[in-house]
Amino acid sequence: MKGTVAEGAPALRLVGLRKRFGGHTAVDGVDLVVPSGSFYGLVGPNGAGKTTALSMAVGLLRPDAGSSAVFGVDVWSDPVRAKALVGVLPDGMMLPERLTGPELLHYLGRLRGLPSATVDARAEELLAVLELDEAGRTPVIDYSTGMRKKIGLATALLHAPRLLVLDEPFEAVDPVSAATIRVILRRFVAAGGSVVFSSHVMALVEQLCDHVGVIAGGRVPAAGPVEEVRAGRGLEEVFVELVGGRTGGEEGLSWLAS
Amino acid sequence: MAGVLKPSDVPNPGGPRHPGGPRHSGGPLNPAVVLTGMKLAVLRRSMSGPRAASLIAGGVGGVLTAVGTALLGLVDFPAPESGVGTIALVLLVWTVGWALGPTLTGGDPTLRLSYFTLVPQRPRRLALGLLAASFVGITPLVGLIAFSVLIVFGAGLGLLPALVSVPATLLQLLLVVVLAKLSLQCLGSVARTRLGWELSALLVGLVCGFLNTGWFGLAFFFELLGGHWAPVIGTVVRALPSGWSVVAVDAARRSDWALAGACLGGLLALCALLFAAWTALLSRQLARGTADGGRTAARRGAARRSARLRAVTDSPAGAVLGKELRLWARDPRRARFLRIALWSGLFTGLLPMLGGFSTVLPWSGVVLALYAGALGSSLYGLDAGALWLTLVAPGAERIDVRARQWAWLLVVGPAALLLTVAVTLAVPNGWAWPWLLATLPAVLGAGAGLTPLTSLLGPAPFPDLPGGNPLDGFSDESGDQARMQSLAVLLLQLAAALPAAGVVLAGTLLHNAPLRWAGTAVGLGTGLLYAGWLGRAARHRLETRGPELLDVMRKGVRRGTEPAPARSPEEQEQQDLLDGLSRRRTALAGLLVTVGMLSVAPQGGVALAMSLLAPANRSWFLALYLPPEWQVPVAAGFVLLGTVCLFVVYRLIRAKHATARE
Repeated sequence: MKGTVAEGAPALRLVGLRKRFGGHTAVDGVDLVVPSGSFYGLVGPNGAGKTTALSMAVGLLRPDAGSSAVFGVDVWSDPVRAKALVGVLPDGMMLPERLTGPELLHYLGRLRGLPSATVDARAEELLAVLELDEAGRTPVIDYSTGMRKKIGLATALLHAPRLLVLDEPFEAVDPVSAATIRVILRRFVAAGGSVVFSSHVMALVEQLCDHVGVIAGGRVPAAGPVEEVRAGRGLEEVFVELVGGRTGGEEGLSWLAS
Repeated sequence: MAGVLKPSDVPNPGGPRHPGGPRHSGGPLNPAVVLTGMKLAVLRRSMSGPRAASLIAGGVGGVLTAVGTALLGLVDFPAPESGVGTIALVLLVWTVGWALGPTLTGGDPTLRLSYFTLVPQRPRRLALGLLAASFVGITPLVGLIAFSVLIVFGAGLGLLPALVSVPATLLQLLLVVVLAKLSLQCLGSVARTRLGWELSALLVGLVCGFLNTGWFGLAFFFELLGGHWAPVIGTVVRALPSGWSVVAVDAARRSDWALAGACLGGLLALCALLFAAWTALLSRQLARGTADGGRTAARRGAARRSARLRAVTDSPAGAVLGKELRLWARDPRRARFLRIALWSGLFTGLLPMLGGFSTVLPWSGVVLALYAGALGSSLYGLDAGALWLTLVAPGAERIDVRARQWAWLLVVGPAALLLTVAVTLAVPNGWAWPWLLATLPAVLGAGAGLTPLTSLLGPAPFPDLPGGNPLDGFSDESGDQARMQSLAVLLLQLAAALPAAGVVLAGTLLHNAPLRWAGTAVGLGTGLLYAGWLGRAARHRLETRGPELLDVMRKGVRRGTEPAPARSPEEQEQQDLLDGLSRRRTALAGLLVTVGMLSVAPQGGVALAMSLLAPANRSWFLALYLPPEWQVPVAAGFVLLGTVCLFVVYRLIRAKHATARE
């Protein structure tokens, strides 16, 4: 794999990340260490700051304070080296809508400096594995939500990064495609890669991940190996306790089934 | 399970069923009331930033024109008949303006049809509601002021004509409002077909061309009105529905009640007919929804072309260039910009020919380049949030900016050059070549530099959404910003051509042929300089502010956020005060931009040129109505006034940024 990186450095280290939007603090001092070779799940309720934290981690959103380093390379002071190491799937991403899937991958691969033949071979394999090869001549604008997710994943994998940062990769994906994505990610980790992904599906995180970070209200109340965090209980139970939530939906709405 | 709601759980089933919801006073709510309220709420929320500036600038211009129209009713016409003819002609112009206006502005952005596709209302009731809501806003007010020319005119004719003029005015307003709705819906439907799409771009180009140089052709129209065609045209403008209102007022003067009644009744019937047609189109779109609207099946031959493109462009920069060229060809918004630029250039050159004025014709290609630059001023905004792809690729910013510049040049340059050659061959103008060869490269170079730079300095995201009306695009805050930027790019491109043009002018004045042709070298040199230098500035902007730009691209102009420090309540209060101030400041800036542009360009620069070149064609240039010795100083004064206005705007913006930084 490419890039000279500090030996033994964690795949991703976030230190004191903060971000305010107007009067609202979205991320309030997040510290997180993703060990090299780990499969890391970031869980949290809606609006907890998952997307904001991950965007800052990969250089798509400038933090008000704090730092982010990928294998010891600072994302904000040495972006070119850091970006070469990461593959990113942002949430709700937009794409050049009038390109077809193969064209999009070709353009991105070449932009990252991969040789033409390599890009085309990889693109073909990725499209086949993700079952997008049938839609080879369909422009991205006509893709379904799940197909968009999959082409996004393909763009993140194309340059064989060492770390994958995926924001809600399983959302809006059908069960069959989700299984495919799970297999691909497991293979990636087995081959020495590291994965961080956000989700609010506890079962998925419990099943896939060896490490987990809980994010709520812009802070990280618990993080570490999955076994350690859940301490013999179910992850969901720990999560609800940490987040301080309670199951709502009992009050009001008396008119709903009248 | 306790969570399941059963009808028996509902307390007091006989009582009000919507305790916290909107109050019903029996029967379904009137959509007219709801939609009008909704539009007012949206308008109230949008009165800030570029949106307010744009609304105010447009409003002031519209009201001034409308007041001018209304005052026409006070003119002492030689006979009432000639007054009727004149007013009918002016009403025709207003009506055509209302019908075509939405093609330029994109119609009403506040109440989009897609919001209401799931509302269980009959299309006709929904249409009534939307129609009622269209009477809210600045444009209908402008229409009302303009059409009150009927009341002013009627009052001068007597009591009965004055009485008839009131319903006539209201019907005239109803007519144009329904017509605008119908025309937008028609164009929206038509724009889905290839032919309709091309035609609508041609129409916009015609309107732009007319606004640019149409006044040179006005002499032709005036001759038509005054010559032996006058009676025919008088009859036509009276017979067209736009003239029925004034004919009714005049009929009341002659106590010809049958004609007056027929005219007013006819107007009412026509409005009903147009409304029915609009409702029919509306229900068709409601039934179809928006999901299928934007299907873009891959065209045949695309794969073969792609293979060829790939062979030409096998490098990282080439990959971006290939992507950009594909998007210029496939993205309907970009393709539309190019068509509009082409037609604007052509019509700007051709329309003055109607008045026998061929001096502008050779400039068609230059105008094309100017419009392609102006319309491209939102280049990065067209990809909106897709900017993240450039930001995650290491060191891709430089390649991206340069490739976009090349793509713009490759698409626009040959077209501008071809058009220039074609019109110059069609109507040989030997004097024009040194001027054209000097200015065209300068304008193209500036365009290639300004399009990425302005779209990154003030990003105006315009995401490419499937379905929907392709004319909707530029009608929100992003659109306002894009329009302002377009104007700025247009003027900057003109300014960029000045050094080269200056050399040619010097050569012409000194009768020095080599100097005249040296302008070409200066044009090429400055063009390269602009493209290189402005492109570098764009790259620097993208490299240093990438994440902030992406934030605006994803969230839109209004919701993009700069990092805001924590504030105490006192600080917050101070900030609120500043926000209030800046709202007023924005309004002032909008007004000053309008006055500044009008003063610098038409009333200053163009009037100056006209007083030297063709003083007989006075059109609407105020300076040309003065004695000859005053014309140049007054036009120069206008340039000065406009420059001062624009400078004040610049200071206002600087001051605002300074406060924002603190």
